[in-house]
Amino acid sequence: MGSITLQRILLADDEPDILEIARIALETVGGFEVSVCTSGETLLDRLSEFEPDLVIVDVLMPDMTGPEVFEEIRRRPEFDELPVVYLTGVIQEEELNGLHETGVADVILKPFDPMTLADRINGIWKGRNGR
Amino acid sequence: MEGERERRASAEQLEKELERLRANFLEKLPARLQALVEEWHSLQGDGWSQDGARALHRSVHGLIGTAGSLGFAKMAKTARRLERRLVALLEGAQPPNRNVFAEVIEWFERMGEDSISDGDTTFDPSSFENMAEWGTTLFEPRNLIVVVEQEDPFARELALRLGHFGFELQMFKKIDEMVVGSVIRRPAAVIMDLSSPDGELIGEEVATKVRDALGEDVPLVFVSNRSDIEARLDAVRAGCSSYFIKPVNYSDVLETLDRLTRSEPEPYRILIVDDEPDTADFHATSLEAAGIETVTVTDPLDVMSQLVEFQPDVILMDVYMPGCTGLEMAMVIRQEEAFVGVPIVFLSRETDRMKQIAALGEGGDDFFTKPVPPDHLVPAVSARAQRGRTLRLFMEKDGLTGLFRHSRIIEQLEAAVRRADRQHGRLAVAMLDIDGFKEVNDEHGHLVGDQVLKALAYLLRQRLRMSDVLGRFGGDEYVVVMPDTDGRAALQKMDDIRRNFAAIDHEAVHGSFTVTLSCGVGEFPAALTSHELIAAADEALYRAKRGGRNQVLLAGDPD
Repeated sequence: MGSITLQRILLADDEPDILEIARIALETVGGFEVSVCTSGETLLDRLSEFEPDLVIVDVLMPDMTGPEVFEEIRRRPEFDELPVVYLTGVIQEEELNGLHETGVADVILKPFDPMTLADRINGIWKGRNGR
Repeated sequence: MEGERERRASAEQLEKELERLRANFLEKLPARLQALVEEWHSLQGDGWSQDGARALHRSVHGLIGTAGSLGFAKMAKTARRLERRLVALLEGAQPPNRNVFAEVIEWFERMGEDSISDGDTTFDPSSFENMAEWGTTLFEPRNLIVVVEQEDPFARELALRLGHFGFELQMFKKIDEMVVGSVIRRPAAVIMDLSSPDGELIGEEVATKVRDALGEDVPLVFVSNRSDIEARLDAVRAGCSSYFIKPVNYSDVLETLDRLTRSEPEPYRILIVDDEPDTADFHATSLEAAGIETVTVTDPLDVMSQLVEFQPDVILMDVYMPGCTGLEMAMVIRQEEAFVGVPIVFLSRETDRMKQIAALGEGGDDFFTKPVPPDHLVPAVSARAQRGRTLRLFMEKDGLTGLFRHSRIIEQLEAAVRRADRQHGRLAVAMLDIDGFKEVNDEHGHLVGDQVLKALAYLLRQRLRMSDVLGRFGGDEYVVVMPDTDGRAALQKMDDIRRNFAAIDHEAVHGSFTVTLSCGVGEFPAALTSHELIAAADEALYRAKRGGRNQVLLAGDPD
């Protein structure tokens, strides 16, 4: 936490394929260290151990939704500044606005372009640290 | 330099990895789709559960992200539409019927086919931009109808019927469940059951609750078991738009909803013909400030082409112009049958009342002395435009379906062709014909036949965009002009509509029946003129009929 360059990303999505695509894209092009999990609970369990610089979490997951995960992260004092990015398949404008309003760093829509994913995450990271 | 080389190397590596993932995905997909179809089968009939349907929805939702991110654009698109269907089902109060079950299975099959054609085309990174685009275009929000109804069979029936016409429904069992924030978005109408066990009059009470939850101007449609004048008065006082007595005639409800959900009136269009640019500008600015669209022509010889293209509601014309006078121009305009009804308002510095009156004899409708102050110009022009539109509606629209008549749709098509030509744009024309319509009339009578014709008109209006032009060519033949649309997209849209139409139950004396339609699509610039487009669509329609009906074909495609 608090590092100047983005290195460690923790990623959660219940869809293994999308997890794989995102992981490979972030590792290969971004050169990040990526840890993946298939549920929000696992992500929360792994936070302290992995110490991510940034978290990407799917919105629509069966047990714990993205916003619930985000809320839980914010409840922990040691992670109250950790940037969280939503990954979502919703495309209704109102829903999107609602997601942005939860206070996350950004929202990335699925399907996404794997070739530019790392750049986008880097952009979000820089935008945050520049503030 | 070093950084750039590294970047390129890592991009190449990612592309390789993605190729591997694509192959992997494609290999596993058939089994995955099969499993989803089985899951869907297990939900059929008594097996229906909201949880089961929700799980299936999540799987389909997941497929969209994966397929799309791997560049299977067509498949992702199809999956998105299926998802939409499932969401609607989940929002519905009751399990889907057999037709819907079959339809969903068809969607799964289509996804399989799409994945193969996606797999055959080389990966195109620009497809991601397109995805953002189809995200919005395919998701034009449908008209939402909120239904508050405690009597279940009625609600189920209504949901089923309205669903086929492309309405989205949200159901509530009790009015008290409908509170601020509980309705997913602003509805086009709220249908309320007013029947109360003790026969109380509750119209005003429920109307207040609806308005508290949804705002003032949501149209209210009441359904009640009381037909007495007291009850009806209560409803009118509550501000309802329509009142239906049980048992409800569903076609009447549809007609009402169709009316309530018609598009907002377009702004008035005024053609200004004046050789003095400053005066023209002054009038245009005053009108535009009031939300009226204007086009200015300073050379009277350009008037005819603008009439066709801009389709003005009113022509505001200077009397004294070089080349030809406004009066001469008015006579020319009036010789064209299509423009006999467009109001012409003359403008001049002429203050001689007698000369003004003479001008009216030449086909003018009014005479203003210019420059006209905005507070006079705007209301005067608006009133003319409004009346002109009402009159034109009677002249141009088919009384039964409310769609454009034959001659008018051809004009609209011609204007669309010119626009497409100038902008190097796209344009598709679809011709639809109801299969075996004569038999419907013979078997069930003309009144029922008319209901079928109207049903297709409602469906077209609900499912197509505001920018699409809909017409009834005569008999049971319909024409749809779709600007900015290529043949493939039109084909898909019309095929959706074909499917929807086939699922509609039409009521007749001896029970209900279903009808199908056939459709042919022609596209610009494969066909270059309105005549060629109609001919191309017609030829495709003919092949669709000959090839067994109930299908949509694109001109030039094999059967």
